[in-house]
Amino acid sequence: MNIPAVVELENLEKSYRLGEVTVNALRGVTLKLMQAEFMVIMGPSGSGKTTLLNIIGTLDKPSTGRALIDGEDITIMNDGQLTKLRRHKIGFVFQFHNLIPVLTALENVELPLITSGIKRRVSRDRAMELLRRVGLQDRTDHLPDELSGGEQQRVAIARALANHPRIVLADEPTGDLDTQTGSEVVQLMHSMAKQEGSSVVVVTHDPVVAERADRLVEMRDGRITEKAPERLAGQKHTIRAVEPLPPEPGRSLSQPN
Amino acid sequence: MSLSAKIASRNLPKRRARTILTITAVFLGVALLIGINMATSSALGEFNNYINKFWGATDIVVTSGNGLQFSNQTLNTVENNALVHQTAERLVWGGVIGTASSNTTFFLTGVNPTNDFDYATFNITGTRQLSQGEVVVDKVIAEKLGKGIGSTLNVTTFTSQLQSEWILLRIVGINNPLRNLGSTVYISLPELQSRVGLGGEITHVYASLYDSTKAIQAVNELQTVLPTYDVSAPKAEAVQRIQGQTTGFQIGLNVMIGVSLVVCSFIVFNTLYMTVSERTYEIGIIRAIGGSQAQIFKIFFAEGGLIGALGTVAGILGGLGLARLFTFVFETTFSVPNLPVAQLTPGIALAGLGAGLATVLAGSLYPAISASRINIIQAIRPSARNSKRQIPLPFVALGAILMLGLGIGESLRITPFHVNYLDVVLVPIGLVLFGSAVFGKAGRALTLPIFLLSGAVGYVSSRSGRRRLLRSSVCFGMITITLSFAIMIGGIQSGVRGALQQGVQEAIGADIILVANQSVPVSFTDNLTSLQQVASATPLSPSPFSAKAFGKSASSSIGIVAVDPSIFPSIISYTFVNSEPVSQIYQQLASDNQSLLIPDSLASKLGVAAGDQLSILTRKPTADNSSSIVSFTVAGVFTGPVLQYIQFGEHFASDSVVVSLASQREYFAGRDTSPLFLVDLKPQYKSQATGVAQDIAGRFPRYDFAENSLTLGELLSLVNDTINRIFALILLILYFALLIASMGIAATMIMNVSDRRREIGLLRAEGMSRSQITGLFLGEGTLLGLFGFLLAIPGGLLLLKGATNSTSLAGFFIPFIVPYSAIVQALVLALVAVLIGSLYPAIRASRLEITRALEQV
Repeated sequence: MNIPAVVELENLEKSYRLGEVTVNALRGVTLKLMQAEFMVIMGPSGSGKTTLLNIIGTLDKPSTGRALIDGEDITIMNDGQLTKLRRHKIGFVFQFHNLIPVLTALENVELPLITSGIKRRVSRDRAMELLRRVGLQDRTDHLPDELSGGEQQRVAIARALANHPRIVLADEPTGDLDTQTGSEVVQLMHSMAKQEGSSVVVVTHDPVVAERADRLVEMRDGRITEKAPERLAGQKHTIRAVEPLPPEPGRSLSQPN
Repeated sequence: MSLSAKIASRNLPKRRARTILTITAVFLGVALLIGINMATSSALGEFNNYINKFWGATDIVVTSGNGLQFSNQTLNTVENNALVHQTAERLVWGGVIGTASSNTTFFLTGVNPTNDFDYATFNITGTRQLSQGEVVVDKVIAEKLGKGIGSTLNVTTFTSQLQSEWILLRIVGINNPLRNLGSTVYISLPELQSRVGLGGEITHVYASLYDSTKAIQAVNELQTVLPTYDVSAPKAEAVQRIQGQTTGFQIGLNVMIGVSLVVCSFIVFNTLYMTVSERTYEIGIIRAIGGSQAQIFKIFFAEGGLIGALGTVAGILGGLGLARLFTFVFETTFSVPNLPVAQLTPGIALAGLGAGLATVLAGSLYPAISASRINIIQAIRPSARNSKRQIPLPFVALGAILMLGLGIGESLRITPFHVNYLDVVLVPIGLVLFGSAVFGKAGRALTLPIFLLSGAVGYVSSRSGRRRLLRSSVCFGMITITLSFAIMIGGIQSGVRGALQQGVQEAIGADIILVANQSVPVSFTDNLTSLQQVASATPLSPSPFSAKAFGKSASSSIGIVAVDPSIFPSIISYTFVNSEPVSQIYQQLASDNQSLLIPDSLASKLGVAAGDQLSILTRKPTADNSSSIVSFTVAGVFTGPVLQYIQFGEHFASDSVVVSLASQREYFAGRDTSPLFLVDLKPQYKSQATGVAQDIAGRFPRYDFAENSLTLGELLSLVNDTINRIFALILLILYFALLIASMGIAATMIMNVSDRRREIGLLRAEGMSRSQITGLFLGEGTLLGLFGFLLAIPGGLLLLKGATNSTSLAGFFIPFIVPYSAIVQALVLALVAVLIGSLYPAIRASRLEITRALEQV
């Protein structure tokens, strides 16, 4: 079976000025992301991981090279077109402060649906369904600062998947969590993305996350230095149905205003 | 609820202190606008009401140009005008009761009770119908004479041939006029015409219109068909006059309200801009998950809109309360008791709503736009933000210099064009921008005042101010704008006082102004000059009748004031413009009975200048009392800022010409009498003017001088007092603006404390005491206040220069006087405002727990 590529990057270069110095964040990156693939990008700080993620997420543009999402060249799109693309095809999970502090868990999940102009009743049903699937059906009316770090990330995963995106991008999603919670969050993201048929790109330093990868990409100095699908081929984890995770009572991370 | 409104409404309570302060500022600004407008509307409404009651249904009054009687055929001409609804004819004559030494004079007015629409509205006790020998008298006369209904009056009048005529009349009704000025006895018109030998003749035609708002149009139409008559619209003219006289005052009030609203806009801008800055990450998240720029704009604009809506609605309600306060202040200021409770009209409510929302939306626009344009990468990755991103100061400085250059050019009137109030906008804003550039670049020089207090505190506070340049600029900008206007108002107050005092001295500036209860022979001056304290005395004799002048460009009803040209200029120094030397002017006035002096406003209206001829319809007494038009030479044109406020009989000094007593005798039925005498004292007695005036009143009790006479000192003090009361009201509004600015400073300082918690923790950890932390924030506030004050000095003086270059403010040119006391007052106000604004945030900062403060990332 021929699996289509969701993302195709060809010889991407990205450089920017930092004071008097020119930083070459990406140096000729070529990469494909297949449908429903769970890709993990690892590498030391400053290797260009996040820059690559931002370009895939249409938050940033490459200096040279081509970047296609579903066959469309995002490097020639204007801001309005990119906004629509993100709205319909991309979901994000960040390291922390993922949620809008004044909106409840339910409203946070609804947010991308509302910005897409989907009817309130439909968006509410979809958000409720996603929160149920991440095990937060009892926490729908809670504000972010009433949720633990793990719960917040689960809300962020639900929100990232709300619009049935083609790609979910996660930047250090476990960076602010303890090992156990981080593992649960990655497992949840992995299983839900598979269920939704979404491709996932995770940037991380966390080896636990890397263990979940269909494909592991390593970066150094703006270049992809190692592709290791073969290394992981024989160790693939069996994808299990994920039971909704219980909330973590008593844990609450305060967020600054 | 839309997404934007939901996020906005939930974010505002999270920043409770600054939200409350911002809403309160908008509330105060709108309440001020509503309160002032309601109180002003109440005062003007009361005035209009009074004018309407006083004149009843009468819209138009027609008299002959020189006040003489005319044929009642004129009534038909008036009736034929399409705008006229009803007419009434009257013969206004004179009568007296009593003896030569003790008498009561009054108007003996002939009316037709059956068809006089105005008389029909009189509040008369008894009957209003008038048969032969019956009269209705004004209450004041009845009380003075001790008469009532059924009493008889033995009235002396005179015929058209100036023969005395005695009439025995019976009172059948008492008229209760609106004010206690009534001095009229009403008699049947045919009876009066018959008694005085003026069958079919009248002196006044009264008319009402179908549409009172067309009074001026009706005057113009009737004046065209009745060129030698004086046609006036008393109600419309009174309203026009009061509007003209209060224009400057209303401009002052509105400018101050505008300043308050601009300060509100600054506060909203500052609050929202800081909010955008704090929520940059949140903006990045929303953008990353598909929120568009327009949606981000809406979220922050909605936040501004919500603040605006809350503040505006509260302000409209608060304005109702404030209106009562201002109505009370108006009552006190203008000595008008019992003004009606001000009403909130839809117009005023809409003005408040519009101003409040416009103010807030103007303040929200830029922050909302900047939020929508935030770079997503920089928003979600603080490390990617360019920490060196700063306002490009050279551009700010360039913009400031351009604005200041244009503003200063406008103030000094050296630009090739002139746009009203352009300098009022450009000078303060240009100065604030210039101040920003200086504040950002001035370095340690600015710390000097604070270093005097505490080196350590000054060291930190000065740098903190420059680090948050935008919010610091907004803070000192509010102070600069408010105090610039405070200094300008102080300067205008000094200038108006100076101009009016000089004007009073020029117009009627004798040491004592004696006002008698009757016309006194001008030879009375001999009695005055015989007193040892008196250097000289001269009569100032206004004619009781109008005249009509026919100039090159217009004709106008004028007043006549007669003086003795040989003595008058030694007491009163008129300022003549484009005229011959003063001595020659008065020499011509003395030698030529067909010469006159004319105020510049009237000369300009009639289109005449010094040396021109001016035709005047005189009352030159002839055998048959006929009148004639006589050509007069304009000997001099004089000017003065108070002429429009001094009234002689029916005419203001600004509408009256000055002739010699001999000219008045020859052409204006003068009888060498005057109710006014100007007295100049010998130098050693000038300081005792009040005592001398009392002495004169005691020596000549029959003239009742004590009742109305004034000394120059009393007059000037009256002028001063009035000016001070009017300006106190304008300054009161300015204090409100300053209070609003204090709230803005407080909101900014609270933000400073909030986002410098870690810095405060570090300073405390390294040994700074609570009082030093308090001092740190108070020092920063003081620095902003002092800087704002320093900018306000040139700002205020430039605004003052612009104001003094225009007559629109006061109706005359105001001299430019540097208001030193206002500048000192501004310094005190600046310090008070910043201390009020900084105190609570400073105390809050000093009370932060060190460990909690250090938790801030």
